[in-house]
Amino acid sequence: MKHTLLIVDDSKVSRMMIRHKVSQIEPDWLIQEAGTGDEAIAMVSLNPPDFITMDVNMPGISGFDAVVRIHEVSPKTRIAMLTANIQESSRERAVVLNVTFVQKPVTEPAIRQALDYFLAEK
Amino acid sequence: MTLTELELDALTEIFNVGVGQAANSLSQLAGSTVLLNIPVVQLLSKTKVAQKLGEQGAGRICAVRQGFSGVFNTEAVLMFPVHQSLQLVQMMVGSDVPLEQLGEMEQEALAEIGNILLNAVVSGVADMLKIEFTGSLPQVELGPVADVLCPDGELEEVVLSLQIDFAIDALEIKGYLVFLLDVASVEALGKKVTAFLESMV
Repeated sequence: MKHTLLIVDDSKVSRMMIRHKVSQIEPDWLIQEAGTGDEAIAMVSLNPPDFITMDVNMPGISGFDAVVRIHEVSPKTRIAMLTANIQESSRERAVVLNVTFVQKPVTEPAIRQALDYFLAEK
Repeated sequence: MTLTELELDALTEIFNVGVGQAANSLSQLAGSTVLLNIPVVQLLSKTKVAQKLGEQGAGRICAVRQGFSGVFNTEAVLMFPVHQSLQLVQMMVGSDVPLEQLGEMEQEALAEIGNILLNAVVSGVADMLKIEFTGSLPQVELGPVADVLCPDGELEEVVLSLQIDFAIDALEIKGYLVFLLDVASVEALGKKVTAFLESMV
């Protein structure tokens, strides 16, 4: 099945690495990119993706604030926080927001962890 | 501004946990063993910090600087010799990306490497001390060590310097990580360390 994924990260290199690794595992997925939380919210409002990988520390609103807004617009979209901010407080916030937490760097195991969460039966 | 021997010892241990996390992240990125020394925690002037790094061969450097704010504020600076920065970028994005493209994304890739490593250390410290930090966006700078460490020119300002030397085995890359805290932040940190020590009694 052709799923849609939105990669949200202010680092172009990070987006490139995520896209590359996801495409290797799921070559049929349609992948879009956003460089800020606000851009992501606008994109989700127009066309909600199935899945999102979300950075935390970005210019403008944080990834966590973006998740709150995205949940209002598209509650079914599954979100994985993919971040270098690995503080316990960040992990706890992810639990509260009902999203999964994946630790950077963007390695194949990290991407597989996100994909397993996206594709798991509810 | 003083810290007791026990407090400095506790700080070394606390930072060691964070440094271990950073080493783990770096070895995942590099696909290679990362060798780290135990961090040296000292109260020094910025000039002295720059001088010490200069003595170890860190002359002109490529640096990623990131501020972290919370109960206390710190500025974290990750430094590599300039000529090794492209090697680091290649390590991160993989060898299948052409060299011309690597140059274009060099700053972005270095910022992301810095972001991952500096956050790993700071997260370790935050979790040990049960506090929370908010990080600024990473900035990449190029120049002599003294210019990078002292952009405001306050060379004699005393700071808490935490210096970590590390080497990526297969790539022979050597880097330095320095955390700078001003007087007020050292006092706030001192209180947190005291609480940390008391929690173990």
